[in-house]
Amino acid sequence: MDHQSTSASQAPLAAEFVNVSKSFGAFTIIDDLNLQIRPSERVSLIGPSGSGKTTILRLLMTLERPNEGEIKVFGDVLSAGGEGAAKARPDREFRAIRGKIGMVFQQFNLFPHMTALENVMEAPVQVLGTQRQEARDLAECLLKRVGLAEKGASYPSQLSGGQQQRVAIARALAMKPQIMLFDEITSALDPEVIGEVLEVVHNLAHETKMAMLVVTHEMGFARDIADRVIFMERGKIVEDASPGEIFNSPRNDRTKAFLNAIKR
Amino acid sequence: MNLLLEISPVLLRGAYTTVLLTLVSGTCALLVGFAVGLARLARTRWLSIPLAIYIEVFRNTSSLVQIFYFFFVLPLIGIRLEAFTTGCLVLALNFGAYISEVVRSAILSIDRGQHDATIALNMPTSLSYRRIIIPQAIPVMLPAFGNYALELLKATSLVSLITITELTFSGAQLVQYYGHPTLIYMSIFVIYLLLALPLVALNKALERHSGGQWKPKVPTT
Repeated sequence: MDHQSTSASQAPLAAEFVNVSKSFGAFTIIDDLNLQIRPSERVSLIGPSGSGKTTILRLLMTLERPNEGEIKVFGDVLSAGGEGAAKARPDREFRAIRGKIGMVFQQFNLFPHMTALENVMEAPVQVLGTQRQEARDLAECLLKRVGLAEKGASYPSQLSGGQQQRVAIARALAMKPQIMLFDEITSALDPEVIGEVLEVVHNLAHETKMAMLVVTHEMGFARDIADRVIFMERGKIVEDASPGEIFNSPRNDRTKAFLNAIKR
Repeated sequence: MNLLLEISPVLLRGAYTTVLLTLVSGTCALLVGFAVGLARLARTRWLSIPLAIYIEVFRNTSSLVQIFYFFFVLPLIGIRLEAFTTGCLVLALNFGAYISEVVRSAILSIDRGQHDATIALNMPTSLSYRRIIIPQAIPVMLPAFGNYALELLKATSLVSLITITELTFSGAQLVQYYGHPTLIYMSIFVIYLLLALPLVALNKALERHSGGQWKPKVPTT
């Protein structure tokens, strides 16, 4: 809670959840949640499966709409629960806000009918209206940055899982988001390629000022990447503290139980 | 042999009409099918209910009755169309109904993750469909399109019953005039087969070309 009170007077929050609830049928997955992410902040979300971590990312990316509450991005309402609240905003304004967010998925979700380079170029050209040559230069630069300079002409089906995920990271970066969401980006990978993907994310954390929201089951990664770790259970935030506190001296019994279970 | 030479101009003209009917109604059926299939995906109720009714009516009634209905009943309410136009219209609506379901189910078969990725890249829905979803759905549609193209080629014989002298009808007329049903119908048989072959080849080529590059045929390294 300390984080939130100190940030109140500073620049607008990168993202803010205000009393957000989300349920699928009778099952409440996010329960009256309040969450604030400051610009450039790196936050890890940990917790048992079904605790709502991924749903937080999907809500922020507008892949899901909240049933109640409000989600703000840099002070603007991105989506809100209740009738027509989100629809009231003109599409152009809505997309201007959504464009500040990028996401990398567990299953990569690369476009299989396009080469790695085309995957990265597609949105800058088609959405931002970037000149093709400029977009190509940017894409080549980003592929180089994720260590895939030679793979531009390959189709996703010709790449390993680790390579595909790195292309997906380059593709998300090409839109220059201010908040980047990583949704269990190593969960679908073979153990031997997890390291190469995590290294790319670590480098990004050093080289950029994007806010990052990371959902992961890799506890070492969750600790090393973050300024702040949030432990969730049953759609609620149970503990919200620095990585040191959460991993070395968790206050909450359920956090302790979860971390102990993982160690075993 | 002499007889064959004598009847060949009539048969060829009939074959020409059959090809023309197939091409015109086929193109229209594709347009109708895509428009209806995509419109039904939009899930706006005022649109999707009438379209669902259209599809079920045209799929679940006899094509022949549909042709008769349009040809004999529409004039009674003041809509007069040429026989050829009527034939193409009914065939296009009939096959369009089937094709719309192919289009719809192919698009629904595309992984949810692809839609998620287009949203995460801030694409508007129209762009997402045009550049990402439909290009992936088309290879899924092609085998069914090939089938319907062949079906359509054969279904054009139905419009002989509303006075269009296509291949089957010209054959029937020749039999009435010359006799020799075995020879004449055998020629028609062969002509239909010859007309179908390019369609089969075209479809094979299309299936190979589209998606051929990126379909995962090599195991991932």
